[in-house]
Amino acid sequence: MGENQKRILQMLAEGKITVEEASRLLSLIGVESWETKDSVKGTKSDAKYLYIQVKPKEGQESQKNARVNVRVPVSLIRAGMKLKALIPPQAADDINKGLKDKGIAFDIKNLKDEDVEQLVDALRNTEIYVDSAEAEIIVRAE
Amino acid sequence: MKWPPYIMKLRFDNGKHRFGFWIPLFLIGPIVLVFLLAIFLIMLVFALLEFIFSWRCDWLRWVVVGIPAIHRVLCSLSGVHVDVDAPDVKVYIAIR
Repeated sequence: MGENQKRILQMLAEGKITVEEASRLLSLIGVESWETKDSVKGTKSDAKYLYIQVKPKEGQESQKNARVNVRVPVSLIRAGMKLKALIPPQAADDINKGLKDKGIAFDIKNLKDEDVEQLVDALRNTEIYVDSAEAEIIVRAE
Repeated sequence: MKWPPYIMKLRFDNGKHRFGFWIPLFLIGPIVLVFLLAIFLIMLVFALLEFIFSWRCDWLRWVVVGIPAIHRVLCSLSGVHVDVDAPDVKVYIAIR
């Protein structure tokens, strides 16, 4: 039993709060604890690998298009994220500038582990499929 | 604990040259580990000197964050699979 639950029951026993109030407070704590459990569970994605596939369209293979099949462990992405802390501030500014030039307004310094977790978690349930004139690109996590 | 990869398969074919390797990473691993440890100790000395004389901790950040992060990246490499099949070149890399 949690500290808050004990306190509520004590307040009920002392007659400081009514049964309804205690019930409402306990239910609120219950919701909070479930949310905490979910968020803790949700931080670690079940996906093991990130797959990137590029398949040239029929008739395009004879030209310059390559068939690419890449599998990257998600743990490698997570481990790579730790290297972010080593990016010198000047280089981070250059990266941000480069991203901005490409139309991506994103500050690399604000990239957190949780963001990558969310991205990978989202990819687990999503398949990015790009169907261009030259090739099909598929990005998915499993 | 995550262990470093033990083998790397590499195949290359560009029409003129063609070769394939099995690189036993489990033999190279201990050398890399000793190398990382040596770098860690050397950088620790520099980091402490820098911290004592200038109160800056740039090197210390590298020692505390960088070396373990590099080690973690090396350990997470197993499972990487790259297969590129272009008309002029074929590359296959698999780390296990």
